[in-house]
Amino acid sequence: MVLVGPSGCAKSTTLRMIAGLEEAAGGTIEIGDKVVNDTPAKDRGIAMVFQNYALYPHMTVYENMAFGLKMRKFPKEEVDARVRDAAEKLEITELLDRKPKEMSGGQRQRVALGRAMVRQPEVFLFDEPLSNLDAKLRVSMRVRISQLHKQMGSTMIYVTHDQTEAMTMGDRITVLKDGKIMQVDTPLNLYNRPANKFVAGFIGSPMMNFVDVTVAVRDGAAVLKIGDNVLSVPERLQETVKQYAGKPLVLGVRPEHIKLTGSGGEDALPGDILVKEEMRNEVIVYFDYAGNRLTARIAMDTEEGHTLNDSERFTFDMSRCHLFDTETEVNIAL
Amino acid sequence: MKKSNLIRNIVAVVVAAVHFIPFYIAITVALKPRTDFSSRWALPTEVNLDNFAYAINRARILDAMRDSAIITVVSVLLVALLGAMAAYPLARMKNRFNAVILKVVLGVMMIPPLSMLVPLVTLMSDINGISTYWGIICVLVTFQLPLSIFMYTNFIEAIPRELDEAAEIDGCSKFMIFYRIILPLLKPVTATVVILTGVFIWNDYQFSLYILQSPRLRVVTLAVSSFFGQSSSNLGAAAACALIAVVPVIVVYIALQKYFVRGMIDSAGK
Repeated sequence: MVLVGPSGCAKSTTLRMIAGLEEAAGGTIEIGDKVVNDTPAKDRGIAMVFQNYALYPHMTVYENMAFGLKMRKFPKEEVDARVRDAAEKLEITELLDRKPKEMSGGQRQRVALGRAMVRQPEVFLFDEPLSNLDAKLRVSMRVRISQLHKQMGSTMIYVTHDQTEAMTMGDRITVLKDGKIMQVDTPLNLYNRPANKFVAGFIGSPMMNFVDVTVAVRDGAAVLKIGDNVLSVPERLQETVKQYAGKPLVLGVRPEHIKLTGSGGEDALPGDILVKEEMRNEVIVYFDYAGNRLTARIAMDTEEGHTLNDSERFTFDMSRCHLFDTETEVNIAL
Repeated sequence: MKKSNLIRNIVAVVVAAVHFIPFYIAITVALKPRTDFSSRWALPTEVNLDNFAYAINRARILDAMRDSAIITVVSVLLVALLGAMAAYPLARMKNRFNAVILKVVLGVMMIPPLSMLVPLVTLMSDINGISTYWGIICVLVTFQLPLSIFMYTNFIEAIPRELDEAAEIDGCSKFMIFYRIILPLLKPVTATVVILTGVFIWNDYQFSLYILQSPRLRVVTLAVSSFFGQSSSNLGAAAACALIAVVPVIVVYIALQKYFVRGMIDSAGK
């Protein structure tokens, strides 16, 4: 389970409440089928990996990993066996005699992971564990944690503000905003079926485009008007959208659902291109349409010399679009 | 050489000279016999250790050093231990009560100790603390604790709180977190506290003069002062006494100096 959201959305606080480091003002916290509100952190069967690793600076790697077991009075042989086993899995055996200050960030993070592993907890808690690492190391640690999850089969709760981490690592993701749960779902469902405008905007990079539209009914069918352009509404949404006749809605379109068109139809939106980011086989286009700044991801082989003019016409793939209520911001297109 | 470097070097030489000159004069005076009336700046023509012998045999400087050492070691241990234990909750539990306590501690540091001397001596006399080890230790520890608490508090605040939390999850009680995790990390600031309070207590004259009234308990500063009388002074013996007395301080400073600077910087705080 990944908890994701912008800064200050209470994802870390939630994790700390699960850990027992913060008191819950109300409600119950259950681990397994046991309510743990009044159980001290050490007895909750959890292990936590911190953002800044929180390794004890005066202890060696071995002592750091063994500390929790020693405090629980495990026999020496078992402590040694568990520490060496975890060190081998994480490829840090040769670091066991080093102190934290003698290691790189990636090595420290592996030790922090090892310290959690030796405890064999019911629940692993990760508080933005990769945010202090460089991009390359972050990817390799991501894979390592995912492998660890498969091997150990324990529940893992992972806090991050990085949606790529959330999307790649989570079986389920909880999106939080201002201390409230916006949606709990699988990564794909969050992307394809966002419950509201916040989730739609938060998940996905480049982010979803939002355009203010007005609902009109023409020849018995609901359509969306933006300036001089008219967009058709898919059949499955006709009845829902008709209820908003004459009212505004927010249209949400993912960048990959915007395409170039040569037609001059009323659904072809003229756009002035502001910036182009050319990749190997696609171009990210930032364009202006009737005061809206939109982003499109156009599949295009740039090496073959394909290029874009300063102004182009774009269409939205309306079958993949989302419509949000302007007041509640709920996705009415689900 | 750049102009700013030149100025810096000149200032460094002047500061070093200011500190070294008294030491130099103490050496020249201590090594000359009482009958040598040459300038104090001039080096002795021959090494004369009579003043040192006089300081050891007649002024019993070694006994005074023993008394000073007992008082200093016990006081410094108490100042360091109590300071660290008091600072830990002050640094970690941020609430209004602790904020007030910290301000009171800082406020106490501003009070000139001499202003409290008369009631202090009266109190110590009432509780039979005059001319006792525990009496002078109580007074010195009381006056040194605020600085110690202040330095430890700043230092502990700079230690990531996640270490406490990791230890809590690992199964430590609050006391064990302090004892097993925080205390070992306080080495640099402890070295600073030991040096600052140790030097102060070793050099203390004002409290010792009033609290240690009996000649059977006499610290080095009182031993040195005994050579200065209303009618005459034995400067050579006083200088020899002072030179002997300063040796332990220099030894401790050299032993702890690698931590001292780090402790000073880290406890300079936020």
